[in-house]
Amino acid sequence: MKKIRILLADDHKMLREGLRVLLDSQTDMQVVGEAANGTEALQQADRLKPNVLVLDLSMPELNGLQTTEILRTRQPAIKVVVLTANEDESYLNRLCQAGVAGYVLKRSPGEDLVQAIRMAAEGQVYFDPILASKALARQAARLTAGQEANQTQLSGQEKAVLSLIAWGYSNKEVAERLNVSVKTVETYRVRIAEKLGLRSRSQLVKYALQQGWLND
Amino acid sequence: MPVDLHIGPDSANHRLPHEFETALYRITQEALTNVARHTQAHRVSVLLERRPGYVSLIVEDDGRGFEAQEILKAPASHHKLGLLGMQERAKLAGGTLTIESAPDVGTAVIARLPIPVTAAAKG
Repeated sequence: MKKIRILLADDHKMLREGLRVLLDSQTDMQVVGEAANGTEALQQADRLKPNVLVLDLSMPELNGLQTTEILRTRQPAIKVVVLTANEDESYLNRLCQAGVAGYVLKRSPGEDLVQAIRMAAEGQVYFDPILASKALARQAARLTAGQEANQTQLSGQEKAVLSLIAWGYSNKEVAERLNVSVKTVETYRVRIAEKLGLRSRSQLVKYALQQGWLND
Repeated sequence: MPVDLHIGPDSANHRLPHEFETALYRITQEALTNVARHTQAHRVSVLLERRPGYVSLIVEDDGRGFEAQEILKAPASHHKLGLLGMQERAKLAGGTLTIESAPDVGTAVIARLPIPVTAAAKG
């Protein structure tokens, strides 16, 4: 069986030694090199062409994020599994954008790293499950908040115009009901369309239905 | 040109008397023909909904619009005849047809046909 060739990059020698023992004891893995900082990791990656780089995030010279970004452009075939004590989700997002294949916490059991390396080598991704679910929940909350923010952008008068248009009234009828001019209704409609990005009356109807404004 | 179709839940499940369906169909057809021929619109909405006591049909585009009154006053043109034809069909079904348009705003053709008592009872 062809072994997964691994490059270890961490500025703590003792940690590298421990990881080497752990990974070399796997029948399908082989540590082919070590690096003590980001610059060294890039040099070793160019020279050794490993399948997977296990990369500590906080290292002197180039940090893990910078190293990942450079490596992904220079050697896109090499998968990067990040090993970190950092549980900050914003960092996770940036690393995802940089294209890491794995994100393992240092406090996790060693088998997590082993699994992450195997998955990365197969072209899959592994993210610490607890961290990933937190990040996803946060992301979902942000999206919902964004939708609510959109909605509150409409003034009361704009909501009234939208509801009446969605109900099927003409601009003139809306103007009469709200006691404004037809021109004013037309202006409101342009503004509503711009704010919500809705381009037709059908889209306005769908939006009003979603908001529950047409249930009477 | 994309057509955004919206059909209310009540309209999709209930048939109307034949002459109503024909009137609605012809009005839609004529309105869409007008949109395609005269408006330079990017999108058009077709909405069919059942409201209390009537059926509402709206064909609305985002095209260049026109002064509806000007066209209806002007000497006979195909466009004018088309508009009059739609109004006639709505009237024959006992309903109303309003054309609302303004330059650069687009045009809405709004037809409302009263639902006959028997059809309403059935629906």
